[in-house]
Amino acid sequence: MDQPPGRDNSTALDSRLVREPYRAGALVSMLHLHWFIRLRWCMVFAALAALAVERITFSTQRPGVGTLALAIAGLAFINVCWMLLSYFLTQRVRSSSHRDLSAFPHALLYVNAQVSIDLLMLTVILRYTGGIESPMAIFYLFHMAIGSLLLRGSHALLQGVWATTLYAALGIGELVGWIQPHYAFLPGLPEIGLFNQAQYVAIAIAVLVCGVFGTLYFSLNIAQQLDEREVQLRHANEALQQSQQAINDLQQRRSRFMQTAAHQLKSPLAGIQTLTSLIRDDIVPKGSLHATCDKIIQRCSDGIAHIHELLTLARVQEADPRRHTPAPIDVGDVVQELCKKNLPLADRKGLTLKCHVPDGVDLRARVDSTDLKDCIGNLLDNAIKYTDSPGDVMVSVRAERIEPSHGRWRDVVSSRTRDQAKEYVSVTVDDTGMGIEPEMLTGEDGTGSVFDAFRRGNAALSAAIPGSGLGLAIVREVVEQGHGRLRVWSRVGEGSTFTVMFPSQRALPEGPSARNTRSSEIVIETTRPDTDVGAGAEELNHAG
Amino acid sequence: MSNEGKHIVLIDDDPDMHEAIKMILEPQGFRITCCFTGPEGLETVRQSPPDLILLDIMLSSPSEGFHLSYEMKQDDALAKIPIIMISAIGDTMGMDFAKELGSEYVQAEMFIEKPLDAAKLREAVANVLGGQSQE
Repeated sequence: MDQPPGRDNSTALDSRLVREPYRAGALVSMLHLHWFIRLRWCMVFAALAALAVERITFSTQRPGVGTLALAIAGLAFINVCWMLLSYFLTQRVRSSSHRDLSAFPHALLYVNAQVSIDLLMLTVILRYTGGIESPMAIFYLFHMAIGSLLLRGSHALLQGVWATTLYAALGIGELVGWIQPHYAFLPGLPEIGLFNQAQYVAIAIAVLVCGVFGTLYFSLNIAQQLDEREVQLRHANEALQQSQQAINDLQQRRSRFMQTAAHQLKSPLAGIQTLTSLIRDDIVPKGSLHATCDKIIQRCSDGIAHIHELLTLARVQEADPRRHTPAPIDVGDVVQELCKKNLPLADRKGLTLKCHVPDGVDLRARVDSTDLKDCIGNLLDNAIKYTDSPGDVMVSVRAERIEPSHGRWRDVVSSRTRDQAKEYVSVTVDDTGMGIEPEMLTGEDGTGSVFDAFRRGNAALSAAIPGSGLGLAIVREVVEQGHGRLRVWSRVGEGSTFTVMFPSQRALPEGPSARNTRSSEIVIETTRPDTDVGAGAEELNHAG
Repeated sequence: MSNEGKHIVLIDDDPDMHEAIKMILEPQGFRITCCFTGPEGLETVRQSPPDLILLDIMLSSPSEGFHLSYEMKQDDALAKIPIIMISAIGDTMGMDFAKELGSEYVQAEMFIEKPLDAAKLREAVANVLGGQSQE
């Protein structure tokens, strides 16, 4: 059974159509619409009509009319053969979106054969309608135009040679007497006798050669331009389809995000309603009423926190570069401010919060200050939230550079060529907390990593620590938007170390158009980074 | 029908839901074991197969509940334990999530939407357990 070819076949064909130096699209169109065959039927009927009119108009019978009618009948017979062949090929080529690649070499041969035989038949008709004196020689040019539209350039040129050879053979044959007798173009007209004038024959052949190759030159040029246009349109179409796919993916992701966000916002409300209805229905024991009310208040706080984090994520995801101003900002100042802000929280949990900001080092990074605060604030918040007492949280800031040739970090002590190295300001937040499962870091289980929105580690869930699952998504977003880098080490039960790096203010600023490109990568380290800064670390306390 | 001693495993990351469901079902004679995560829940269910599983859909990931129910239904030892999915996601949205994963992931006997209504939860549990005892 004739099965439509698969998508891969169609793609292979498309790439071939782009590469082919002939207009395969026009060829397929010719096969589908049968216009070449219809055109030939028109010629056959026009010739028969001309003979009929001639018979009525002129009293004299055209000499050789029987042979001429036979030639026209032969043309009709050949056209029937082409019709059958065309039907067979069309069955193989089918629709334009399901074209059979294997049919094309035959289709090309099919068109070449048609043009060649048409030229031969045209010469036969010329033979009986005035020979080299016949104005019907103009139809050679017509065939050249069709040939250059459908065939490869080399094939079209060969057809041109074939046409001029046939015409020259007819003219020279009649001139030297190999072809006899000569028939006049119209039966009633007096004999001109130009066919036996060598000069006229030479000029007629030269004119036809010029006409044929001139037509080929212009037609092939136009065909080539059409080819290029077709390729451009194909590429534009492909780009459009890719854009459409990207938009669809984005819409799907956005829709999923909205659904999940709605769930996250609804959860606290659902909890509040559930607990409230239990109080109303006297299901909550009297002794637990106060504790249940505290839970309700806590759920309200959770809901507000979720909304705040969603708004933060929406803000850092904002594509409009005017909403972010990556001006040089002293990362050390931001870290110290955030550490002081989080100190009461760490104190309440019985944690030691240390902060190390080196003196005399340029720690200015090119990043939006609000984005930076959101990023470091979330890392610090997580470190405190997921570390139990007794435990340590250590925040340190460094100026670093990455040597592209070595692909590793080193301190910015050396003054190697800055044009080959990228300078960063890094912030490391290290804790001795519960850590994250390896599959949650890599997302290897297929459900995404902790850096994806709403993804939370099982250790955190087991410990019933409230959270929206948006903190690390915000961190990643800020790092990506800021053309930074993100490194993480974590082990369950031992703690986590997150390092975010932002381009130093000395680095070349990124253009606004570069926003929203996923330029950064998350590096998962196998060994815990050395964060020991010795006596340089400042243990924060309430005195400052 | 007495519920005395019937064992229910609740897998939900929300501690308030643990407390609320205990308040609703324990007076009915049910014994509730609460788990916060999928792996913890699966281990509990395998160690001590319950009469009913109450399962939240969004745990560590938005669709973990579906994966969990699928895994349980593929396990011959657990396949017959009825599952009631409880989620703030709502059953319509829940079905959308499940459809994306594949229809075979819709393995729960019933969906209940949060916020929980004590009477509706009791009725759902009674229906699912009643249906099971009639089989």
